[in-house]
This record gives sequence, C-alpha cells and structure tokens, in this order.
Amino acid sequence: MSFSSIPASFRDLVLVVDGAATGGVNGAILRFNGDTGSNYTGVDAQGTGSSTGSGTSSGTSAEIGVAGTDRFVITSQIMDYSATDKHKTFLSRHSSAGDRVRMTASRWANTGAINTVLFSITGNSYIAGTTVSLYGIAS
Amino acid sequence: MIRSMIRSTINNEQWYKSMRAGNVAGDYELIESYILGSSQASVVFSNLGDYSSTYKHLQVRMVARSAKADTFDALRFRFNADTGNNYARHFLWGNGSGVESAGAASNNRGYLGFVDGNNATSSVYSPTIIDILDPYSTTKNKTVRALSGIRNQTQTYVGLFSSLWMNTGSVTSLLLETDSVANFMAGSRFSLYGIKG
Repeated sequence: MSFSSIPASFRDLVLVVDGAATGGVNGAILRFNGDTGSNYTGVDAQGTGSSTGSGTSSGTSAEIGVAGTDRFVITSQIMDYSATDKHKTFLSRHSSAGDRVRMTASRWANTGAINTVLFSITGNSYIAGTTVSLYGIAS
Repeated sequence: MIRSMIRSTINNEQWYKSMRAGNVAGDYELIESYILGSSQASVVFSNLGDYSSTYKHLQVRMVARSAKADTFDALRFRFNADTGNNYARHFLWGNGSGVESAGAASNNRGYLGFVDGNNATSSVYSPTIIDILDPYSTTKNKTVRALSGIRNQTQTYVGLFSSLWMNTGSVTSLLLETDSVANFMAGSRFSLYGIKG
C-alpha cells in the first residue's frame, strides 16, 4: 500500500495499520520516496508475554512491527516528514494480543521531504479488511 | 487539528473512508510551536494556564539535538518552575540487546526521553512524544508519559517514560531542557497540542 503525492502542509504524519497477514510472522515495513537503498536503521523493544527482547536493524526498509495471522495494530509517528534539514525519524508501536507488544525507533538517513510512504508485509499479503490510514498533524 | 489526509481500506480492492482513529475534527489542536533558529538553553511553554478552560490533556511532539559533545543526552522537564524534590520517574527501554527498567523517587526534575548529542550523525534529531494527562486538575498529582527513541551511529534506545509531579496544583508552565544542561541545537522543534475532553 503506497501513499503518494503527500503534501508538505503538515508537521508530522501518523500511519495506522489495523489488520493481519495471510501467514507467517514477518516484518511490517516502511519505505519512503521509493528508496530501496540501505538507508534505514532502527532499534526495537518487545515483550511476548513470556519474554522480552531488544534488537537493532539496518537495511533497505524500516521494520516497524511484525505481521502474522494474529490481528495487529501498528501506529507509526513520522516526525518532521517535510523538513529538508533532518534525517527522518519515526516512533512506532505494535500491538497484537495474540503475539506481542513492541516499540520501535527508526531513522531514514535522508534529508529530503517525504512525499511517498509505502507500507508492506515482507513475504506475505494482507488479509481482506486490513486498513492502512495516513493522518496529518497540523503544522 | 488532526486531519485525515489520505484514507484507504483494503477489502477486495474496494476503498472506504477510515474511522479517523477515534478523533473528531477540532478535538486535537495545535497551540504553539517552536523551531529553534539558533541554539537555546531550554524551551518553556509558559502560558499553559491560558488553555485550562479549553483542553483536558496536552501533548508535546518534538525532535531535538543537544550541543553536548557526545552522541547521547537525555531530556528532562519541570512544571511551574518547581525545583523541589517533587518528581518521581520510571522507564522501560530497549537498548538494542536487552530490555531494562528502572525508576527513581524524590528528584528535582522528571525525565522524558533521549536527545542526540552533537557528536551524533549530522542532521539527526531524536523524536519524543509527550502526553501530559489532566494538567489542570486541582485534585490530582500530575502524571506524564512519553515515547522516545535515539538511533545514531552508536546510541540505540527506544523507551517508554513515565514521570510524576507530586503536586495537585494546575500546571501553568513546562520547562524542557537537556540533562547535561547543554543547549538544544538549531533545528530542534517543539510543538504543543491540546486535546479536548
């Protein structure tokens, strides 16, 4: 799911995903402006109900949660998305009662304004009824 | 005001409006915003009392970088210029290899998150979102929660913070500063939003 031609008239963006994947437990990812370079880094912390963990990531997309067959909600706060003097940072919360709760801080190492947001699930599809919504926070 | 800019639902390729995440237009409004044109020691929202009849809760959305010659700094706050030992705090964070939690009581300030130091990768500003709950109540001690992260070349943290101000007075001002007391760097941004109740 890609949102394109995003106007620069807001201060922050909020992406809300409510749904599930057709199988597996794989990364729920973001990419900006079609950038497939290794320009995304992140750090996460999570609890599964029986254990906790934290890890770092770097690669060609930002993992903001994980998507499996259990229904999940992910909210990602994309800060200062239209600034041209900052790398883009975003804070994400993932909640899935059947799987885990997780938070992630991510960075896109690019000072360009974001005009396209791609949300995807690695290796799987969304189930029908999944909603992906993008909101703007007033500037 | 939060506005839904682009809305979509995937349902056999039919598209629907979203549910606006429960917000009604006008319930969430920008009050004031600072984008620093030059470095500055602290940021103070000093007229919070003016909004007491309009809003139930407040939210600060910010990205910040410290002048500290390091890759890491922390964010702290005070209400109503109170420098007494009237603050308590807890945090839960992931550091990239494990999850940690700790707390402290009877401090003279509260803590809210992480700030990139000036030795961090250039153009990087740490994000923090702060919720101030019931700031105008005169019967409750004040609670604050925040989600914050830092991901530069050496620092990897994401965490939840909660702070308590042991005072039932209405909040009239909020001071934000770095823990090192170094300046916030130019480009740091602090936006205050009001949430109606």
